[in-house]
Amino acid sequence: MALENKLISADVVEVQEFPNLARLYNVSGVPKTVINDVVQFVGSLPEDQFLEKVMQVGYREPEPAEDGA
Amino acid sequence: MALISEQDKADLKRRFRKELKKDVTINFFTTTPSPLTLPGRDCPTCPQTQELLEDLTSLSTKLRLERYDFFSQTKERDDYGVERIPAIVLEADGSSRLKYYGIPAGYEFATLLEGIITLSRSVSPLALETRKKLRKVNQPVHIQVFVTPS
Repeated sequence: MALENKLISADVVEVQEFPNLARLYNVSGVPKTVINDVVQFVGSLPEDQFLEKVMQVGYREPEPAEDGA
Repeated sequence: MALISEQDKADLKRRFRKELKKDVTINFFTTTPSPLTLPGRDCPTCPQTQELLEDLTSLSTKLRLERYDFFSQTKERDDYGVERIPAIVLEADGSSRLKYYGIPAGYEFATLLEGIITLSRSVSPLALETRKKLRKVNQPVHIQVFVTPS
């Protein structure tokens, strides 16, 4: 997904080496995916559901243009 | 200690020859152990990770390894956005948004290989619909996937 849009970046983190991260993100089952520190889920998701989560965080309706007064 | 068996090396060489198209740079952030390593600055898995990456990049002329010291090369560290070590940042065509933190052992090794090959081929494993929707993303999205080596 990171390849499709410059705004998306992806990290794979091996938590046994970073126990502070495991604690911070409360990782007990793996794989655990966290998006922008606000959306998280354990286990794998089908592509369309993963996409939905990414869009939840990554897409905001553009502000409607101001009408000229 | 050979981290990649001779058989695996032969298999990987073949796979790389078949599948790699564009050159991929493996940017490795590490630190050099010294007798006076300060607490908090040690990285026990860094030497093994380096050896693994040296082995891996020797298997194809399209793979290049660049090594950076996390503590002294802070410009590169900040440019790539590296937060901890060992860190591997895959780069192809000027794009470098795939990072792997920790020694790529076990399952993570397979995902590292997938990352290298996907970047090199620029062919996405995602469905067309998914790719079209992702183009609409207009906020920064940082995906972190936490794994274990088993």
